[in-house]
Order: sequence, then structure tokens, then C-alpha cells
Amino acid sequence: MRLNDAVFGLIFIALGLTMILIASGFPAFPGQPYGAALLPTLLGGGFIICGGLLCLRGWRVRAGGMAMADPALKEPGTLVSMALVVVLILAYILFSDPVGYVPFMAVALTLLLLRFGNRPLPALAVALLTTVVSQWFFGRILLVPLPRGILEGLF
Amino acid sequence: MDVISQALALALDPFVLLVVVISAAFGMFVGAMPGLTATMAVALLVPVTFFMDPVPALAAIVTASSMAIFAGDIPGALLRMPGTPASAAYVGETYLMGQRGQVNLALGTTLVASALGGLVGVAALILAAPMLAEVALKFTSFEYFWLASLGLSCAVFISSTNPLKGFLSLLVGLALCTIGIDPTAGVPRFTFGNVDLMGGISFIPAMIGLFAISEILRGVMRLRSKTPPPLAQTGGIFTSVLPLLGRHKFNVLRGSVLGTCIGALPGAGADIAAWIAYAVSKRFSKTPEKFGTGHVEGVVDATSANNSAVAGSWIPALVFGIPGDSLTAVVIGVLYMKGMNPGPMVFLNNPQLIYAVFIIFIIANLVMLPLGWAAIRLARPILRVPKRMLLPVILVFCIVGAFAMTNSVFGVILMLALGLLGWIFEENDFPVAPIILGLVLGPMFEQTFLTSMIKSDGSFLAFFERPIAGVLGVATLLVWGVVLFRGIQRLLSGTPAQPDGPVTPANQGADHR
Repeated sequence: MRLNDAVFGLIFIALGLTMILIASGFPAFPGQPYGAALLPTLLGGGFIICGGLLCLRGWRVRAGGMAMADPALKEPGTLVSMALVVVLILAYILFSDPVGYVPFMAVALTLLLLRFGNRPLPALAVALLTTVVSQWFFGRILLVPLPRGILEGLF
Repeated sequence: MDVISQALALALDPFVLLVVVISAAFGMFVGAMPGLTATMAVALLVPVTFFMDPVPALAAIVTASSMAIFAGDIPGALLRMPGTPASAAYVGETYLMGQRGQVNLALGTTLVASALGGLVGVAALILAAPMLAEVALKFTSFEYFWLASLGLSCAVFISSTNPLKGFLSLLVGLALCTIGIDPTAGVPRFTFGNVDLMGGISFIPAMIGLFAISEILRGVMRLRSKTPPPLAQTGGIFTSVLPLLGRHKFNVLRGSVLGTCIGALPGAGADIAAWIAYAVSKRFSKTPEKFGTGHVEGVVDATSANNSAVAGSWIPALVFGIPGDSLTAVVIGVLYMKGMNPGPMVFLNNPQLIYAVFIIFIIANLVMLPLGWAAIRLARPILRVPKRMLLPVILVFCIVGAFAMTNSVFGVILMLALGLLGWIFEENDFPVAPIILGLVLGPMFEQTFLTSMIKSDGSFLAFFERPIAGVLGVATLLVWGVVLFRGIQRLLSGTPAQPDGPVTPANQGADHR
């Protein structure tokens, strides 16, 4: 999705102003003219100046429209597939702890693979294999405490 | 010598060699898949290397990145799609050679020339790094401040089509690293009372997001587009490569030297090295009219250049801790995590580790020959692995890798946030590499500035008083001056915003390799 540069310019200006505002509350370094607030303030200034230039640039090409979607994005199916990738990560953040790594990934990955147009049997096989291999490698060999969830105590 | 034997013992450890072979195969695979970049290969590897000793960890990164840069040539010749942006300069030539039935000759040539180029780069690294480290021992915070500034400026202005957007990406990277406890006074900044944010933005989840999640999103966007069938492969891979390279041995040397130098410059990596070497080759060729018709000469130059640049870019990374591109930014992040803070002191404190890395570089370039041969032989089945299956599997390893870095979902949250940011940025021509450079160099940039200011009692002139600092300072200001001058010139002439910078198509994809 392409947005007009001016949109980004405005976002960066807002970001710069916020940074300067928050940074003004940082305590000064005793006996020094420069402290914790220096870099954030400079960066905030940089965001405002560059954001302004970007706005100027966007304004010049405003005839091109404020937003333009990639042709691939116009297909509704593609958009859903992309959103599903994000939803899968969000769901992991929210539910992996109660559900557990293995059951969560096995189900989520199967669904994603099916959605991407794989046939059911290969999708299930790849999902199970990936889940088991990643659990074995990260959970067993590298000792990462992957959440066990509902399988607590089983293995 | 004692150090050398220690280094050999470290590098020739069976576990290290096993890591080299596995990461080589992994790098070959990722590099050969169009759309998956060398940086992505490394981004996926780093969570694993986190749990290793420094030498195997660095071995994995060195090997995977060298292999991925070579393997990018394979789909270039078979499908006319570069596997990594570093191969984009000469896909046209190798594909045309392939159409004439010379696929294996083209790939054999790029394989051997890549290995030779890599070895020249390593030789330069071995010779130059310790010498530069001697000089760097005398550096103070003033020199380091200017080095960091020069590195960041070059990275933004040389390698990006759009300096303004590149600079904004850099600002985003620097802004991200102000989150957390401030390095000099210990004040929490932009943490909003969140305990996870107090520790700062962890670098690896951020990188997985920027380089892998955004690639996955882009891959899903193109899921429906069909790839053309790969060309048929005929003939031996190594037969008639040696006579061919013998005719072009000067090109191998020129490409390698050029690649090493460009790689060693902060801000330019393997992809830019390949474009420039190709252009130089055409410029000085006796038969420039043959370029673009499936002529091997430019390919030899460019393919040696991109592999020698991999080694060359380690010179500033090891000696000064200044990354030249996104790959070495990762390396520096890993070095810090391993407690081997890059900089000249490493050469004094842990010379055996540095020499072990050099040895591994040599091994990696030698291993490239048999493994590359196998990858070329297996190219057609590798290229048949469907994206619709591969992308979800990669996604799982991204999630686990990001989780493993913080042992909590905080890493996954960071990865998702930066993945979306990376995707939106790339869709709108903001380069992503400067974000990671800003994230890695930010603390050094701020700390050296504040330390220098305390030392000089608030005088800016002190930044130019020492000879090397003065030279570096003037160089940095010159880079800025040229960019601002061109910007103002454009503003006055009223031309609408057009991609500028060097005229080579180098800028296409220069930022995400």
C-alpha cells in the first residue's frame, strides 16, 4: 500500500513533537549542559524537519492521489492471507501461554497452510513436522521455555 | 605461533565444522530461493547462534552469508530472478547464457569466481584488520564519534535511492534505541512505565521483524504470481570453467579488489559492489558491445565482487565496530551479545577468536565449491519447493526465534511491530537497512558524543582538534554538504522528487539484501 509522502511527513512531525515534549521532562545531567534529553530532542527536531520536507514533496505530487494500493492487494484473497499472518502472530502473543506451544502451532500452522492453498494431507504433515522439530530444537536442545499450556506435565 | 595454534584448535573443532556445513547448506537454500535474502538467512540463524560459543556462532553467520550471496546466482541463471539482490546486477547475462544451453557453465563460473573473490576478500581482511587495529588503539571518543557519524551518513546517502527517506529510516532506528535506560545518566526514556521496555528494544527480535516478517508479508502478497519453469541444465559444472576463468583472470582479480574495497566502505555492501564491478568491467572491456547478450566477462567481475565484499565489510565491523551493511550490523550485535565488543581491543584481548574467524572465512569459501556444486545439481528440486508451504514454516521459526531471545512474548510483540513497520516502509520506498544500522550504532553514537562533550567541557571545537578526528569530521561534513547542496539545487530547479543518487540501477533493492 503506497501512501502519499505527505501522510508520512505528518506522522513524522507528530512523532518528533511528541518526542521533544516527553524528552523535556527528562532530568538534567548534574553539572553538564547535555544529558539524557539531548539525543531525543535532536532526533525529534530531525523528524520535524525531514517530515516537513516530505510533506512538501507529497504536496507537489498530490495529483497522484493520497493512497495507492498495490495491484496484488486489490485481490481480496491476498489481503485476507496477509492479515492471517498478522493474526497468527497476535494469537500467539495472546494465547500461546494458556494453550501451549505445540497445540497452538500445530493448529494455527495447519490453518494457515490450508488457507495458502495447500492440500489437506500435506498441510497437516508439514504443520506437525514443523511444530515437532521446532519444539524439539528450541525447547529441548536450546532449552527455551516454550509454553506447555494444556500439555503441562505430559512431556 | 601460540595464537595461531589456539585459533586453529578453535576453528577446526568438530562441532564448529559441523556448524559450518549445516549453516552452509542452510545459506545455500535460503539464498537460492528468490525472495528470501541473505540478511533473512542470518536473521533466522541468529537466535540459534545466541546459544552457542562465540566461534561457532560467528562461523554460522560467516558461512551462511557467503553461501547465500553465491546461491543468489542460481535462480538468476535458471529463472531470471535474482535469489538475493546482490546477484541482480548480472541475472540478465547468466539467463541469456542459460538460454544458449550454458546454464551449468554460467553457474560453474559464478561458483568458482565467487569462491576466489571470497578468498581475496579474506586475504585483505587478514592483512588489513590487524594493521588498522594498531591505528585504532589510539582512537578516543572523538574519533569514534566521527566514525559512527561517517558510517551512518554513508549508509544513508550512498546506498539509498532516496536520501531523505533513508535519513528518516535512520532517525527511526536511532529513536528506537533511545527507548530504555539512557547509557550515561541512567534515566529511563520512553518506557511508559513498562518493565520490558526498560531493557530497551532487543536487537534480534527487531531484526527478525524487519528482515523476515516483512519479507513473509511481501511473499504472501505475491503468492498467486506464477514462477516460470526453470531452464534445463546441461553439461558439467566445472568442465571448461578453469580455461574460461584463465582467460578472465584479470577480471577475477579486479572484481575482487573492487568488491573488497567497496565492502570495506561503511554503507556499501555486496549488492552495490556487484553493480559497480559490472559497470567497471563494461567500461574497460575490449568488447563492451557484447555486454547484455549473455557475455561472461561482466559476470566474472561482479560475482567475484559481491563475495569479496562480504569479507571486506567485516574490516570496519571488527576493527571499529562500525557496520558497513545490514549483515555486519547483525554481526556486531552478535559480538556484543558474546561479550566480544568489536573494536581494536578484541585484537589484543582475544586474538585467537579473531584468527579463528579468519580461518573459518577461508574454510567457508573452500566449502563453497563442493556444496555449491551440489546446490547447482539440486537446483531444480530446490526451486520447486512451493512458497505457499515455505512461508508459513519460516513464520514459525521467526516466532520461536523471537520468543527465545526474551523468553517471553515481548520478543514476539517487538518482532510483529517492526515487521509491520518494515513492510509499510518498504512498500513506500523507505529503505529498512538504516533502521538496523541506527539501532546498532545509536548507543555508540550517543555515548561517544556525551563523553567527548564532558571531556572538552562543552566545546565543539575539540571534535576537530585531534588529526584523525579532524579528517573524519571534515569527511562527514563533506558528505552532508554534498547531499544538502544537491537537495537545495533540486529544490530550486523545481524538479519533482525523483530517485537520485548514483545512476546505476544499484539502488533497486540495494537496501534489503
